[in-house]
Order: sequence, then structure tokens, then C-alpha cells
Amino acid sequence: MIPPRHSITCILPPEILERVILHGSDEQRARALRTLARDTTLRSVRAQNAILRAQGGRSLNPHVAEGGTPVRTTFDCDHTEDPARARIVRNEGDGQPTGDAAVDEAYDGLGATYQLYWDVYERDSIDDDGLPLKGYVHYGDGYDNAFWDGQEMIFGDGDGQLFNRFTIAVDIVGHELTHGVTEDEAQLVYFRQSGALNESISDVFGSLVKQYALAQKADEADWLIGAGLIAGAPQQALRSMKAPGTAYDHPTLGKDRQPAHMDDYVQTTSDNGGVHTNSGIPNHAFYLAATNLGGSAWENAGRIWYEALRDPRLRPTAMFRTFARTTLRAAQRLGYAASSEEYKAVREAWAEVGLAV
Amino acid sequence: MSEVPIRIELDRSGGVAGISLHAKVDTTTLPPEQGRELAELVGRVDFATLADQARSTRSAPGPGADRFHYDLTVQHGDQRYRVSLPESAVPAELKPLLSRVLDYARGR
Repeated sequence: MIPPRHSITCILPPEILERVILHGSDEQRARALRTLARDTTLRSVRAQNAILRAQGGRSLNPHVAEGGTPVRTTFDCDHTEDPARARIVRNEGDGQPTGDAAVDEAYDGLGATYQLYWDVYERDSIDDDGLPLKGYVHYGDGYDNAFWDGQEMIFGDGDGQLFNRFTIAVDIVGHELTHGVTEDEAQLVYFRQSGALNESISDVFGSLVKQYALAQKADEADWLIGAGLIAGAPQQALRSMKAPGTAYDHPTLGKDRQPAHMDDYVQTTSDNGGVHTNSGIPNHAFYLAATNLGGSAWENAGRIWYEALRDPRLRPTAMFRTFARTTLRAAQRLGYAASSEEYKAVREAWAEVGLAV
Repeated sequence: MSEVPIRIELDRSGGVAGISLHAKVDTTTLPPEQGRELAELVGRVDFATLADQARSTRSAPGPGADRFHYDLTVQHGDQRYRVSLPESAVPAELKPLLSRVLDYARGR
């Protein structure tokens, strides 16, 4: 048995890697394929450098992104709405919690999000190129929201009356950072169905961040988004992927009105065409596929959804039905033929929410 | 000094929660000092210009995701102004008014 060696300093001959690809376990095969891809890059760069040297030119530097480590910074806005003036309060590697709950939860949440994407999908941060992760806490005065501003995450403290601090839910951190991933991959337009898809993808991977951090199987997860965010109502949440429309019922906030089926699609001009409302439909499809397949949701349905998000044919204006078809195509690309359980589970999930593809 | 009656309607939608807050206030139904407070906050904003500017950009989504959107109607005497803005476009002088009116939405 050949001991594992770092491929840059001691490259295994391709024949050995090919044997692993033909006969190894899934994990061994995945590693061998990655090594081969990296080796090919290095070999071609070396060949290119040799040619350039012969011509008297400069060498190329092989850029083989190693990845695997987040670069996190947490900033304190001191209750202003001016992130440009925020102070750095925690840097990557500052192992000691600061004691400021918002700071420490943001720092941990950025890390948990990074870990899901790296460990499971080998994605090195939001842009798959090590983008530093910045979280800004204590934004505004009683600001009851968290958002992605296109480059960084901003968290309010909540007004204390209706909402708690927004760092309290790790899936919200995952949700926000995933907007960055979606911007990088599919650029789903934040309006109507494509916007609801954008929102759903953030809920899906936000939920997976939480499930991965808690090592929960699909049937152990609560499938709630933002549980504990509503002040005085720890059992309530912002959304439920398992049962859209049941997450909250509150005297001031009203009742969750997310649909779980296309028959109940909400036509509205509010909220960019109801992007946070109609996301219930694709959310529920993911929940159905994941729980049907069992095991860890990030492994089976999560992998298919991630692959779908990265499909270059997925357009920014994609509707729900287009995305459903994209997930089936993604399943096939991952090796799940139309006769497989995985493919059928995804197809049935979409059918159950009213999107037969 | 007679106060000009002011009626304000505010809808805040969007946000990561996707939960809307609504407020309707009428200074004629409020204690005088609250009415004066609102009048002062309204006075800080040039609504005529703001309504024009906001109309020209319509209510296009601002940058980023999970931000709020504000739909505000202010009836000031016989002048009526309507402003629809993404959070990122709210000018500094309008923020205190929005914040105070939202307090009414929260029941404060």
C-alpha cells in the first residue's frame, strides 16, 4: 500500500492514480481525480515554463489553490450605519472569544459557513478563491435585520422587542454568505421567481450550515430558518422548509404566509415580488428530496443542488421549473441515472410542490 | 400656533425575515408633544425633491440581498408625498422619521 504523499513534492505516477480511480472507494476515487487534475496543471505549467525559458521569457507561477482556511474578520459598527468606520474586533486566528456575543457568534458563523463549503463541496470561500469573510456587527440602533451588501455581511442587534440579535442563528449567517455564492455562480436576479430561487438557495445552504455544524441527519434537523430570532418566542422561526406557513404566528408580525405549493404562489409587488415568501416552494422541494433520500442532507440533495447552482446553463432569470430541470441534470452529471433513487427523489420532490418535470 | 395636521403611512417590507411592518399615524389623534415631534422630523426632509427623485428611480431593488424597502406616504396639510425607496437609498435626514414611525408599528 503506497503511503499518501503530497502531490506537489512527490507525484504518484498516473498509472497508480488510474488504478485507484478504477478500483478504489468513492472517497479514494475523488481524491485521485483531484490529484490528477492538479498534476495536469503542474505538468502543463512546467512544460510551458520550459518553452518560455528557451525563448528567454519569464516563468509562469503555477496557481494551484490549496484553500482550506478561512480568513475572517469581525468589525464593530458601534451602532452607526457606517461600516467604513467600523473597528476590527476579532481577526482570523484570535482563538479567544471576545465576550461580545454578536462578535463571537458572527466569527463562529462565518467559520461554520466556510467549513461546510470547503469540507463538503471543496469550495474555498464565497468566490472559491479564498475571499476574506467580513462580518459587521452592532450595525445601527436596534436594527432588526441582517443582510449581504455585495461584499460583506452586516448584522443588526434587533430591536429587542420583536427581534433578537441576528447573529444568534447560524443559518442566517450561512444564508447571507450564500447570497455571495449565488452571485458568484448563477447571478439569480433578485426579483420574482428567480429572486425566490435566490432566496431559497440561501435558505437551503444556510440550513445545511446549521445541520453540518450540529452533525444532524436530514430527519434530525428542524428545517427551520432563523429559529430563536423572534423575541420571546424561541420555538418560532422566520421560515420552515418542512412546513412552509407554520414558522411564526405573532400579534404584531402576523402569520407566516409562505406557500408550500405552486397553487398557492403569492403574486405581490412587495418584497421584490415576494422573494422571501415564494421561496417556500423550492425550499419545500429540497426538504422533500433530502428527507426522502435520508442520511446527511448536505451529501445527497445538497450535492445535487450545489451542482445545479454551478451549472453554467442556469440563467439569472431562471424560473422554478427551469431550476427543477437543472437539478435533474445535475443529478445525472453526478452519476445518478434517471432510474436511480436519487434522480427519482428529486423529480418527486418537485412534482409534490406542483412542478412536474 | 395652529399645527398642520400630518398623516403618515409607512410600509417596511423585505429584510431577511421577509416580514412587513405597517404603521399609520395621524397627529390629530396623538398627544400634542408626539404630534410636534413628528412634525419636526417631517420638517427635516425635503419631500418634494425626494418624491421626485424616488419616482425617477422607481422602486428598483437596491444592491445586495435581504435589505428593507420603504413605502412612505406623508400627508402634510393639503400636500401629499409618496416615496418608495430601497433601504440603501434612504437619505440620512429621513432615517429618524422612519425610525419613529416604525415604533408606532411596534406598538410603542
